[in-house]
Amino acid sequence: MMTDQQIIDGFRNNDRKIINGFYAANKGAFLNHFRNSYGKSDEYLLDLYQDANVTLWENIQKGKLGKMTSTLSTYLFAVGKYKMMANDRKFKEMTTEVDLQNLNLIDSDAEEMEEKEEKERKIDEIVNKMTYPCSDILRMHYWEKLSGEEIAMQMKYASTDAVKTQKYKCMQKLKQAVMAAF
Amino acid sequence: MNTTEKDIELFDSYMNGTMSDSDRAQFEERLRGDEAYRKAFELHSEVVLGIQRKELKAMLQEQEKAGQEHATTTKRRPLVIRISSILALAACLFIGIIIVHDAFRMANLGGDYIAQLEQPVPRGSGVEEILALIYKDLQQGNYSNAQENIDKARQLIQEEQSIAYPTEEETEYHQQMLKLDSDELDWYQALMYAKTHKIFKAKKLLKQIAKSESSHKEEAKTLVEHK
Repeated sequence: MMTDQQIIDGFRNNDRKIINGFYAANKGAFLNHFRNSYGKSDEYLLDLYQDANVTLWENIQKGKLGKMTSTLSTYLFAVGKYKMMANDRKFKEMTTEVDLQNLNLIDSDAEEMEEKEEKERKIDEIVNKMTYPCSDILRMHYWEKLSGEEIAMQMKYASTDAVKTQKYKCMQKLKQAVMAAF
Repeated sequence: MNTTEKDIELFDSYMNGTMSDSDRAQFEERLRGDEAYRKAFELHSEVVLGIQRKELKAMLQEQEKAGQEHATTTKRRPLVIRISSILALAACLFIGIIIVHDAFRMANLGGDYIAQLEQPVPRGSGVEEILALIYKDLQQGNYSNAQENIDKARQLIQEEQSIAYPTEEETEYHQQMLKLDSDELDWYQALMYAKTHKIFKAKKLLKQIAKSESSHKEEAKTLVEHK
């Protein structure tokens, strides 16, 4: 059985096997808990579960899980609760901010959080519209963490410098689109 | 602020944790002192997270889809699986009963044939002397000794087959004698397999004997075909 630290390392390195394994292992308990406790539909809960996993991954990338006192599964459930709170005003009354702050789930006030989430949504929209070659080169570099040589070989670029230049152009394009959206 | 290719390399290096301590300190100093640079870095981080989020979501969706497909197939499967399992189990049980029944039948018949074996009379050859020992082992139920002696006899037959005699007639005579000894050895071996429940080996050898010119071909046929 894997320790929480091994799972955190796997999330940090975008290890497909570990992320998928953790996702599959906690799904049943998560859905049951939220279904029984809050009577939400399966469709809603499935979205909530995926969002909670994405937030868990993001918090690991941002180094927010450094001083964790709970298990990773408990943390995931707390993320789910927080996400539900953000989506549902009635639910908000049932959760205290102290609980969430203890788990490093919130680090700013509600208005600021909403702004952040709105910005994320817009960035996601822009990123999702990306086309070839940017979609491939940025995926290989930032997700698969391939080296310049590996990307050059796979995408048939003449050199690693050509990869760097193309990556730079793609990032500039994305950033300009994001800046234009705000 | 307009970021350069070099800025992006520095941002990535900082985010990946691949910067040296001194470079990191210098980089963080600049982040603190240069607001435009800090904002450029924040934007870069947000976009990189967006790219990674997209891939993570795609991966989780794929995992979800695979899970649903698996659940659909397993939901459809139970009845088919249950019926097939029951049929397979019944078939295994039936085959098992036949094999066990056959093994006991052959062991009994093998035992009868062993009891009816005629004692070989050694006529001076080494192989015949060993055959006499095997006969004794079989009668006493000492099958491990019998197997050792069968192996010895086969080895000896092989050696004697390569001996060249002065005349062609003599060579032919010895070859015929060795053939008879070899046939006898096969028969002993087959009976021993039958008696010790090595049903598949027994059947294979008995079928071979039944097709040969061995003096035991009819007995072998009876033993292998008896229902």
